Amino acid sequence: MSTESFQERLRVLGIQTLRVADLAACRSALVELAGTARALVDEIPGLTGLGLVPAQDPWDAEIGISEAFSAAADAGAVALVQAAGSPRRTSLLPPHHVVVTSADRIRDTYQELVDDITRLDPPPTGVQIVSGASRSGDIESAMIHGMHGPRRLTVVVVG
Amino acid sequence: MSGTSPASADRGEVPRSVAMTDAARVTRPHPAWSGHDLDPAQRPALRSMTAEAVAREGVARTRMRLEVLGRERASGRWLDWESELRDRGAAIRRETLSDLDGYLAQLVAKLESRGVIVHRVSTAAEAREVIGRIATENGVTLIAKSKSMATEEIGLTPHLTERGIDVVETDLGEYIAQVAGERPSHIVGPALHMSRQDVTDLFSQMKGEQLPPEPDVLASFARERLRADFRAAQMGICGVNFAAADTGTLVVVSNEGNVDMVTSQPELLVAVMPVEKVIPRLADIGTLVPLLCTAANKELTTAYQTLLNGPRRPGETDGPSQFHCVIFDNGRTRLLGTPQEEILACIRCGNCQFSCPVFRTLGGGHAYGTTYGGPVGAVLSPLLGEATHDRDLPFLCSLCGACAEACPVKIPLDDLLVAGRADYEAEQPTGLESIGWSLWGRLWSTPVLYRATRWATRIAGRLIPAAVLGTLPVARLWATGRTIPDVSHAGERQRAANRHRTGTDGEAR
Repeated sequence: MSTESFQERLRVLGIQTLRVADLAACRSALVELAGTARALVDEIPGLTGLGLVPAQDPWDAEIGISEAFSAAADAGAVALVQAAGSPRRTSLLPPHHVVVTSADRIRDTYQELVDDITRLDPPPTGVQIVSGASRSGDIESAMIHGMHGPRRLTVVVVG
Repeated sequence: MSGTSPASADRGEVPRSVAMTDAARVTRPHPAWSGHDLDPAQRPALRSMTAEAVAREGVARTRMRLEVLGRERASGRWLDWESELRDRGAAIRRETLSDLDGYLAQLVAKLESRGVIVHRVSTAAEAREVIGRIATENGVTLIAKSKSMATEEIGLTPHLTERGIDVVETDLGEYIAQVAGERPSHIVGPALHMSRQDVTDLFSQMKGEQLPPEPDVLASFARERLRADFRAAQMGICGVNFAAADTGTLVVVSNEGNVDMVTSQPELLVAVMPVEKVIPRLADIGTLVPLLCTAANKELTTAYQTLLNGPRRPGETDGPSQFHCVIFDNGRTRLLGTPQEEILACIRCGNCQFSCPVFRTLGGGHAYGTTYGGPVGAVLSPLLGEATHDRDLPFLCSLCGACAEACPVKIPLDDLLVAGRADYEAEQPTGLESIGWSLWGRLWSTPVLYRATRWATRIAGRLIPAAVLGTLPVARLWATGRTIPDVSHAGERQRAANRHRTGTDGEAR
């Protein structure tokens, strides 16, 4: 139930979303999405060794791939942990950000996503909650995409 | 994109701001009272500031933009689910205020247990000095800053600039205001007083060539310059929306992603917050973030909510290695236990500003001559610091009450504005003005004398041109910033109307 409403909400927010059956299908989807783009890839269990082109300079990366530990259908939000294998730059520096989340991590409400964060023990260095691509309305309220963070966000739901 | 970055740090040079390069070329004129360096003790009288504000070029367009934004937000009309959120949010903020000291102590202990260096200070001067020391002791020459009204309040950027440090605002609206040399004109929309043509002119002057008036192109120009600064800055400064006492988590909301840059790429981070940003539990952001974003921008959440738990840990590749948190008071805790403590519940959404007809008519918050404009500013600014400045701000209000309806945490802003007026009046020395008022009271209590004042006004109106009337002593006090009405027929129409309606001469009333 919440997977459908989550994906529907993402579409409303202008976020591309894919649903794949399992990790193997997820691997091929990620390889296809990345193509030959210089990539920053977080350590995601089951998704190591994708064989993508590594970005030598993170500021020069073209795509970043990270994993969400929780998601909220009502807000179209995903939550990422900042830790040793998942630095903040992955979701921030490249113009295209891809988030992988397992369908069983999707909650109905933002409050439940926040509750998931409060249960992380010990609390991580940081958590980033993402709902849509980077944007700004500071020039006459005209919507500008990709202000400082990614211009494009793709959420891949597994399962 | 990295090709445009100076990468000066890599060459061992002292990093300087790329984003502010050639900002000195900008010649956009603006009144002194909208400037970033306005001294609150030296600001002009409200009457002249507001008169200039309503006559400022482009103010009508700004007013229209603000009215559209106010309508889109339907300020004060809360849907059922929004009302529930509002009830919960209002309760959480009151719970915080019921034991502010206790929650602050808990927050500080948690932050310190994670390696955050906490500085609790009393005054605005102490707050900016401690941040200046952190910067100079670490040899900082370039600071990337995300949006924070608290840093505006303590006058941080001018303080750091005086010490030879480049400070660059990275929120697009704040950057525009900074380039123009102005203060933010709205809490969440710092450049709302500017049109796209204004921004085009500013950026074209900096670039030295004409840019097209297209938001995407203008944003790209800013993005490339600011990206160089994100990369080279040795220190980041951010504000705080909510600080959870139970976990020591600092929460910052943004749409642009600049907060994540500022809090993760530089080696040093300073988070700045006034005392009332504390909330009891991290779980409360499940209510407060959607409430803030709904009120501020009619969206359930912003694009990013950044949760910070402390400095970089071993094995991590980004995040600050040194993490400071400056918590300042600046007159706030003095308000606890008084009716004015309600203003400390504010979550800085800016909705009261959109809802306020006076704010919109003035074309934004500059003409309040203080950090915080609009209803929240008219209540809060007079109470900050030593509570000696801006005491007359509650008079920038029509008492329509829209702000209280628009407030997501149910602050009775209208009541507080009335109370602020009473405080101001009580402080006024009795002098010539009060003698004048009592004389006027006596004159108009007697029908014959009342009529005599009107005859005198009519005669004066016929004999003396309006331009001259406005320069006469006493009349001049009232006439500054106003248009003198035609008084050559003062009272006549009213008398005729009364006679027509009642069949009597109702003049005495």
